[in-house]
Amino acid sequence: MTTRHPYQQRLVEYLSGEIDAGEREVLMTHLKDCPSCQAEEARLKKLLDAASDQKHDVDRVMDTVDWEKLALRIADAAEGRAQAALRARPEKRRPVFAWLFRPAMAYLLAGLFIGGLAMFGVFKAGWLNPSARPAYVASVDFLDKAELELARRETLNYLERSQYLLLDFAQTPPDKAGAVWHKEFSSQQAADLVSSKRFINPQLDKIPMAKAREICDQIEVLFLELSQMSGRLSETQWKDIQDRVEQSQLLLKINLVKKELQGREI
Amino acid sequence: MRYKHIRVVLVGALLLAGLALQAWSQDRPEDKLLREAKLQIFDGKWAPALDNLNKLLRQYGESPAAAQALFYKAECLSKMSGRENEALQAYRDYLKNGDRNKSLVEKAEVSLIDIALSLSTKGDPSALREVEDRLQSPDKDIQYYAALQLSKCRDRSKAAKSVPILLRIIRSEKDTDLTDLAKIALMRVDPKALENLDRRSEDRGARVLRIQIMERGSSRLDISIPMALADLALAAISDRDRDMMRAKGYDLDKIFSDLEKYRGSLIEIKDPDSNTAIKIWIDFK
Amino acid sequence: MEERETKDAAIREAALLIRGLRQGDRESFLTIIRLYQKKVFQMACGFFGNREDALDIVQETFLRVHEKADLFREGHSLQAWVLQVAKNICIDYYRKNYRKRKELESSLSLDELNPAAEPGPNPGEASDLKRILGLCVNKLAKRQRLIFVMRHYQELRNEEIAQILDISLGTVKSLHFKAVRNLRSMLAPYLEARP
Repeated sequence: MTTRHPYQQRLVEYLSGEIDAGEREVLMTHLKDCPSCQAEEARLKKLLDAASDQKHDVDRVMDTVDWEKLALRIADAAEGRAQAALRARPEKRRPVFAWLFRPAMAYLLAGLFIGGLAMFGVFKAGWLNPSARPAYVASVDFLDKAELELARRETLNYLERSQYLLLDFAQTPPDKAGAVWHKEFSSQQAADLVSSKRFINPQLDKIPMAKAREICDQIEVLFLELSQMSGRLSETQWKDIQDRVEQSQLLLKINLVKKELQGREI
Repeated sequence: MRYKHIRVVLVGALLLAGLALQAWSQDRPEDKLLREAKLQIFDGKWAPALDNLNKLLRQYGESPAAAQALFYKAECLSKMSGRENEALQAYRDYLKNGDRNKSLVEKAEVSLIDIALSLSTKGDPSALREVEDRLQSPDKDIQYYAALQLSKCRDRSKAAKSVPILLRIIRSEKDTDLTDLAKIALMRVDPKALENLDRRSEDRGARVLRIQIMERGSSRLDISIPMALADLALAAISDRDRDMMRAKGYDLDKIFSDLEKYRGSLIEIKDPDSNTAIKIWIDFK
Repeated sequence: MEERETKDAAIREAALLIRGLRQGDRESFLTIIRLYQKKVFQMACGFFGNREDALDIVQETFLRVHEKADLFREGHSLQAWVLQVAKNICIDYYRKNYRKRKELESSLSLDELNPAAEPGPNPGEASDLKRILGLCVNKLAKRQRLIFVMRHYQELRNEEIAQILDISLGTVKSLHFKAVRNLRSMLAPYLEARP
């Protein structure tokens, strides 16, 4: 997937100091001349700075803790527990696994074998599975489901990115259409989004994804147009697309479909 | 004085020309037809859109709008049931045109691959040629897509042709969503190849996630999947079994944390009512 | 060369401490607590956003470290192991205590933090952003949240995070990016430069 503007991921990595010198050069050169990427960089930086601030807040909270006292208290508590467990009758389970016997039904019902195996240390390969078998085996049906799950995530991704782009779009007044607004940037983004849809397509016909199908297709039609428009959007065309987005309640529908897809998470 | 006058005239002329250009490009009848068709497509009204597009192609076949019209015609046909062959032909026609619009061209190639695959499953194996040819497309993304789709082909010998590209994706691409797709595809076609790849790349030995589901004594599910795809695998368990796991307090996070905590040990979840037992563990090779 | 020596020294020290702990030596246990309690607190405080829960987590973590000292594999990073224990406790705690909070959270649903809603008189204001950032981090999926906290509050490196969560480096980077991207779209109105 080629792109002229750096992916957001690249920008994030650049701001976190994770890219090598060569790439940094290239990116900085691009940033010098690209107002829209500069703006994006500024936004991301603001976000990361806020996170830094939060960290300092956490640090300040840490100053209010008496660490030595806490350490001693914990050590006492640990010893207390160990002794209490020793005092218990020998038939009872070892204190290490006392937590297993909380009233929580989940643990009882689950019938975990963990205790026994943990006592025997490292688990040997093939112990539970003496017969030789190839390493990777899965039924076609199973693989289909795994792919569907991937598609579910990708679709959520696609919807979120579309949402963001559409919001940007909806909030720009038509008379600014001919101006410096991220025409090229967004038309490239639109093109990228259309590209990324291809991997979701085959899965959108499956039943669990039915609700997403219509809306993803609609978004795609819109973005196909946007992607062709770089530098040539007239006020009328702009307003035309904005109206379409509004009338079809695209943004609302995206939210609904997202909720639906998220509900299927394990 | 005269100079200034000429300048004004020049500016005036340019302005007029600009406006005229705009007016011209907006009010040409073929553009109107195209715009209307696109609106109809947006609303999912394929048949009326097709009518408009056919009209455009009939009456204004030489205009610059005709190329796009071909593309959108193909789109409509692909959405109308039973007209896949026509759609395929329309995409071919569009691509032959040599339109330079990258997004449309890419979408056309992709849709063509999808239709070809669908036709081949409906009994026209010759359609697969379109997909196989694209394994050598100059556009890397199209190559990848062709390989991923070809891997689903029921004819094993054809599906096997996708393997070299799938391996290339896994080795050289960094996007995990793409590589995950490629790994699943490879598991379909040639799991041994994936095994070999993993064995070479992991120095601590390949880790395999094993999931076994037994119901009333017989095995309902028995899979071994590379650990890298573990979270997808767990999500692919049937809804019924997932509900059972959830009822016992197990979700994805708990499964992972238990597997980590007690390295190599077994998670077993039993439901006495339905006589179902789910076992999850990790094999080390 | 120097780096490997430091690493070896750390491993040897960790082995000594753990052996001491297994034998019931109080001083060894105290040393372990002193070494890592702040890091655990950072993680918990970032994850839950409050001091009290974080302190509970710190205590629970080291109690569990004490109980499960047998499970530590010598030769591996003690810090990573302790943080793994902490992470698991965070997740358990979250599930047990925060399920009830879901009702409270749903009233602060994303739609209300939606760009369409009024962000306040000065959306570019730093304190506004920070406050909302905290809320939004809580909306992230668990793994994304953990990674974001580990990167930005605990300032752990990607390699360390990969070790603690036992996932590949690539997954760490991609999950981190997903977290940032999600935060970015949730916080859109607050990130615009003031006119």
